[in-house]
Amino acid sequence: MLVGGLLMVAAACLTIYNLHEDSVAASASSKVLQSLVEERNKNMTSAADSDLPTGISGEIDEENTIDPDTPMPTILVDGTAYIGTILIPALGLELPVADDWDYTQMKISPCRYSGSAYRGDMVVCAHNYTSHFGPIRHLQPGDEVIFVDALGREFHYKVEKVETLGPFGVHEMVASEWELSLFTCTLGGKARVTVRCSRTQE
Amino acid sequence: MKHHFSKSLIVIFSIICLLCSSVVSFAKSQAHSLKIKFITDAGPVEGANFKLYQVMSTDGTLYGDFADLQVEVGDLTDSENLSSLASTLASYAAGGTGEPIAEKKSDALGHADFSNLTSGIYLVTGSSGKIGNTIYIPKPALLRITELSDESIDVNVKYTMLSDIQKVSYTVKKVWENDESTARPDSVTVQLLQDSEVYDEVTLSSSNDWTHKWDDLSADHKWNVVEKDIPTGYTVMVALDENIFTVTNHWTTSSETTETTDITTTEPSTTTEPSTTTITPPPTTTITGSKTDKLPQTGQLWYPVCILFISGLLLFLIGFVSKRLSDDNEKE
Repeated sequence: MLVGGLLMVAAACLTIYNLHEDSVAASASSKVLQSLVEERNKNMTSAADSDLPTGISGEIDEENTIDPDTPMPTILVDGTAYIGTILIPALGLELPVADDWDYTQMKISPCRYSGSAYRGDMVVCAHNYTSHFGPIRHLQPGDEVIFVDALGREFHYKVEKVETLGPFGVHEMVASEWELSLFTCTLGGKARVTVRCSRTQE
Repeated sequence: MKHHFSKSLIVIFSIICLLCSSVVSFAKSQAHSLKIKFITDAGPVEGANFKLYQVMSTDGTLYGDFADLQVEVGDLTDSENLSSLASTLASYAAGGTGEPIAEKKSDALGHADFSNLTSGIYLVTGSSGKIGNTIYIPKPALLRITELSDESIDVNVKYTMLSDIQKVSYTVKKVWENDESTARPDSVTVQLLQDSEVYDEVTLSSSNDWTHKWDDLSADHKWNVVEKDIPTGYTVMVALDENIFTVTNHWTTSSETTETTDITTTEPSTTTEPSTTTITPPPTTTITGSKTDKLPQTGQLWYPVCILFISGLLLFLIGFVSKRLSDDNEKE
């Protein structure tokens, strides 16, 4: 009986821990988002006056066409490089996207897993916190997803399908024909909910 | 019977605890710490100032200010290329490109510790230190950290040494690569920096065979070589071998749109002779790729909640029922 009670207490503690982690992640990403958007707006303003924005790596394309092989420009926030923000209106989510992924960074924001928005093969991963990609499993075909890069250029996508890949589906994840893929763990943690999107003309 | 039942409970509980602890430890975030060891034949060097720059993402894409440089990253598994790249990036960093993410002085053990490092490729640069009459100059190094790297990483600093009363000399040599010579300028300007200040400026051209030598330089200073105005369409790489700076401009057709950058500096490592001490190269060169064959674990630990709760509930009920049964038996 005592052991059973202890296990139930452990379950309660883990639940509290998860909720706390979720709330910390929400606050961290919102802080980064604010700085990122401010910095991006500042750079866009200065870019309108001069040639290259300060504090930003990359080039402004004067002809509004992007070389697919151009590395995605980044903005540094607290020493971490971010390639832009992702907006999912159907879920009321707007999140910063880090340039590269690791487990520490995923506690703060979604991260680019592979590819490039310019090349049309970007894959973004995030934790399944309710404030991050947890709700993406509810997305429906036709829902809009917008990625805004560090130079303020918008890339509009629509959800084509939501599928589940296995934990070893790296090849399926990155070598697909989809122009944008978002993924996170299922609640069980074993598989990956993957949202496949195609680019639209705004 | 009752004794066996209790024993089984303990075993089940232990297994569940073990499973939970392993799951928790797996899911723990992978923040890395780095210990730089500046230890020479004569002992540890205290007070050397080490700077850590995050210069690239793990896939070799240059970060932040470094991304604006006309530097060719090249093959990150080639140790010779890595050494030149580290030297070149350290030169830019010395010239004011990028901000170090952390800065530490080596302690009495010659150690400088950095913590909370995330995945990326880092540049480590250090100032020289003195033991007796000998100056020890750490060589810059690149270090790749991925989530697969050990949590705690030790790096033994490579270094060169010279006597503090010694005068040093440097030669700079210009090399052109992969070009048709039609785009090649008639001359380039190279600067010698003394502790980041311009000490001398020379023009290299075919008339001086694209080389120049500086003599009688004080060993007490840090010397950098700088290529001013990198020609359009070229990348730059500066390598230091013994006391010869080789400034290589590589023609690259893909960089037609890039503009001329101001200055490139070269990490000096003011050396007259290489150290005889052999030091393990940093892990940079040995780790490959940031991706694994498994997609990242992006889930919170919700499933153990169910396991714990259901197991707990079951055990609680079993305990409750068995207690009731034993109470009834005792009454009878």
